[in-house]
Amino acid sequence: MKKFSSITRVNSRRISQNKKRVQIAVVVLLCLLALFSMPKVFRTVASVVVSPVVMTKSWFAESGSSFPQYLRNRKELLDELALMRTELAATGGERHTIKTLAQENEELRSLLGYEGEERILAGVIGRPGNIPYDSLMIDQGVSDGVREGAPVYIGDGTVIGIVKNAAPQTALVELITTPGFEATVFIMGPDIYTNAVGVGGGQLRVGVPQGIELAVGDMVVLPSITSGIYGEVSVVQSEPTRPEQYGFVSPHTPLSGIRFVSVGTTPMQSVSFEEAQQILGEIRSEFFMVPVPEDILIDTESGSSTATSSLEVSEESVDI
Amino acid sequence: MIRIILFCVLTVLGLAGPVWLFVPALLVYMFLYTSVEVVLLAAFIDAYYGYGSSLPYLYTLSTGGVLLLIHILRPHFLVYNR
Repeated sequence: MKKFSSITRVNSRRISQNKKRVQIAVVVLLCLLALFSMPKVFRTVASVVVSPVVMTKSWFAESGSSFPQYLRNRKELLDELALMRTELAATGGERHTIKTLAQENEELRSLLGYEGEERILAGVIGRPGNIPYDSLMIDQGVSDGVREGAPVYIGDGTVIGIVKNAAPQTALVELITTPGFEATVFIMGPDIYTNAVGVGGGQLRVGVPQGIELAVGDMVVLPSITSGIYGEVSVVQSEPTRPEQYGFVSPHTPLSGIRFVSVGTTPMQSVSFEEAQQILGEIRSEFFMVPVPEDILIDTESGSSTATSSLEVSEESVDI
Repeated sequence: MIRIILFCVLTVLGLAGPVWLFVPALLVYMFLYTSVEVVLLAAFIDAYYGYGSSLPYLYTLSTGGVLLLIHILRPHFLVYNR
């Protein structure tokens, strides 16, 4: 009984499925027949259905009425805004790339444009913090001409260290800010010579007695090993109860920002006091004097010639 | 009721909407209901848009064919629902 009812159910399902398929085939054939025999009638009937939809679509897309125009303009404005944003982002990215390339170009030019001695351009591949001690690792070594004891420069003439160990492909540079490294410095502001000691982390420490006006921003020159301003006092540690005060000097270019250095091929030479004074004088004139044309510059020398001529005129008028 | 609403949406899409939206909607409708009114819709589109075309009544024929195919394959898909 159960088997008979299940078979009957399956058979009835199969029959209804076949009926459905026949129904679909018949409808398709009837439609095709109607389309072939009465195309105009079918088209007229179809247009009754199609026309309102198409007209509404074209009203939204092309009408000059306020509502469709508002929708269209809003959409167009939003599309334009998105496009502008994309273009702006792209332009900003291009500008940033150009700026980075220009800076790198300038940096490389300053490293390699130095006249006087041959230098080796090297990329910095390790910095303090990433490698032990206050050292820099560069990607040029003995095979590229780097020698132990050679000075290492950033920019034109600012020495930041000395090659302490040269391997065939790389070299390790001991920075002048290495703990224990001592150098003579000149601090502009109080205009004094003093000794600076490396404390690591790219910082030099200068110690002066209380009473000397040491201030943040005072420029520091190392006349013995640099031909320019090394950096400026970034922090002053001064306690009235202590007889001395300390200033911490940071270089103009932070160590984390150095990507290229140049390595000299001739060893450094010691500098006498007179030479140090000369270097200081050159630094002052180079950094603080601007070549202003004579007809624009107003100076005491130009003022005295005017007073003399006016005196001569007044004397002449008295004679007359 | 839902079927009527869906059919109306399908009609609007077929007559004025983008093809990339109409075709998937049509396939979903055919799979859900497997009904002959989509053939009528295709016939209307052919009558209005296909007049004078070198391949007349292509949509009616193809819709009928796809409908038959879906009807044959539907039980095989729905076996996983049992």
